[in-house]
Amino acid sequence: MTRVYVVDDHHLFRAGLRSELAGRVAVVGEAATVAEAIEGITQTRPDVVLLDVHLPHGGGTAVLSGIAELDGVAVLALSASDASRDVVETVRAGARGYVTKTVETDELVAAIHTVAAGDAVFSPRLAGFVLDAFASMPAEAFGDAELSRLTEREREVLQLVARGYTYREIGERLVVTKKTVESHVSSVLRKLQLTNRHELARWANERNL
Amino acid sequence: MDAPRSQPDRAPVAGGDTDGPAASRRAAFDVAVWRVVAAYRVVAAAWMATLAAFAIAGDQAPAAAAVPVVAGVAVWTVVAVAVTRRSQDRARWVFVAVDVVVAAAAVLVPVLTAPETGGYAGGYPFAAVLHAAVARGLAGALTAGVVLAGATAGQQIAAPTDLLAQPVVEVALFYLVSATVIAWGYGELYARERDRAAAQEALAVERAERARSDERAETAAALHDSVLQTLALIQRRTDDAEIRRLARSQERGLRDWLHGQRTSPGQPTADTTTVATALRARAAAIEADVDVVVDLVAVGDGTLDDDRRALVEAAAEAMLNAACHAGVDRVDVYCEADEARVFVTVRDRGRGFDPDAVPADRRGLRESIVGRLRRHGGTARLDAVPGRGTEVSLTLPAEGEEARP
Repeated sequence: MTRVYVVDDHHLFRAGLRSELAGRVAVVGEAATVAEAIEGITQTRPDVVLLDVHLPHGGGTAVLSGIAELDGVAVLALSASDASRDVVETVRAGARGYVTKTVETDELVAAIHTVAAGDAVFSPRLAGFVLDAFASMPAEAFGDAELSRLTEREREVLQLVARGYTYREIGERLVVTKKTVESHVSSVLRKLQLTNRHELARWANERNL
Repeated sequence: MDAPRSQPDRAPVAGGDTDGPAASRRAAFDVAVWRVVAAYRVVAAAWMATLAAFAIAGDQAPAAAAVPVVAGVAVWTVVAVAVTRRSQDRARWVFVAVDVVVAAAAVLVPVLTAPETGGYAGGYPFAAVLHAAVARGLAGALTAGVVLAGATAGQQIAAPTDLLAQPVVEVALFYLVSATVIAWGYGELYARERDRAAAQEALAVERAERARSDERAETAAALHDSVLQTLALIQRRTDDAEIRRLARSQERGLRDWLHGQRTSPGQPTADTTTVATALRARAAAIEADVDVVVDLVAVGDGTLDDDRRALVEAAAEAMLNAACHAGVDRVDVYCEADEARVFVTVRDRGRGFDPDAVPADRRGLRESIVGRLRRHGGTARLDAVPGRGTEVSLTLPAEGEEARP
């Protein structure tokens, strides 16, 4: 079973998550603060970390920098507010995906497995944000001209994610394998991580996102 | 350290405060400038002493006159350097006046007692011009320059020589011109330094302000997230539909406020003049009536016109239909809009329906949506699979047609 570590400062949420995930993944530990999390993750070496974006005292990004050297640990970011700006920071810092805390258990488990396999997961709103950003930001925002635009396929997949489709449903609709869908999303994630931080922040500010 | 009296006719270099980084930068600048002035004075005095020594050795100047003059200048130099250190006194008119008088004497006495030398003051008198310029600005510099120019010209009267043999006019002019240039140059330097210091201070203040506001934003974000999470928890945990609706409505309010859609979490959405905001308002209204989450993801936005308003109506109808008949607790709405085209989907994962086996009342609905879009130049599609859900897609203008100008 996939080994999961939970980091969130609300113990009620952690307890809820534990019981929801019981039997489907192995929850190997939990932490409420940045320091505890870094130590716990380093010790237990889980496959996936469920990380609250808004952890106090540095937040999710602090944990990400703390565990940056560990191989084989994938981070799935969670937040309640779905504010794209915060999420993008976490994704840039190394998270491989993001889901909202209100997501259904089945979707969460699927997301955990996707991320554990090395692929990316976007929430619908985050997918919408990325679509918007890539369509409207000026060329200077992108470091490498080649990676500055989404391919037609990537746009298609991202739009379907934004419309609320699961990867399986997208695969059926576009008549491709789920794996293909996952790799398109992962490629978008890489492009997002390479965008210019200040341009992206400024653009997001203008749109009040 | 007290405010610099060395510049009584100028404002302080940066701000009026007497402590902090601005004041110490200002102090450092002043100290540096005065050190230059004092250093020149010492060098110039030594220069004069050297010239006098040569004149004495060459029998051109009587030692009885030269030695006292040089000694006087030396003593005054020591006094002046000591005074230069005291910011209250170095700028006094009295001091400057005496300094200029000494300099004038240094010009005149050698000339009067040893006319063949043409004077051996060397560069010493200029030290008085320098001091006057830094201490009293243009007024001081010109005063010193005029006095010394006068002394230089005066020597011509006292000990007439061939005007062309001695560079009297040149030297007199030199005092006047250099006084002006030095005073102006120092003024510029001073002004630039003040501007730079002010700019640095402004930058530091701005940075501190930004850091504070970033910190506030971070705290706020964490707090909002916490509240949203609790509201989500309440929705999940309660069987009371009323409480669920309330929690969802508060959640939406806070979310919209976070995203800048409202001015305060309690107020209803004010803006419904664009496609996305109009859709959002309709979604909120349905959530208020039916115990279902209607979530909107918007990419871009565009202004409303009659055709687009009709599209929003059709989308609202689809949302309500899904909320009431699909047997789900969630409806996903997606909107892509710019000034040229609008694309909206309303999706649920509910019962779905077989398009061919649609009962009469649902058929009516379908035609209502499809027909309405067609009448306004758009297209509507219904994709439905039994057991897998329904998706209504609305496009304006119709697919394949050109975008509106």
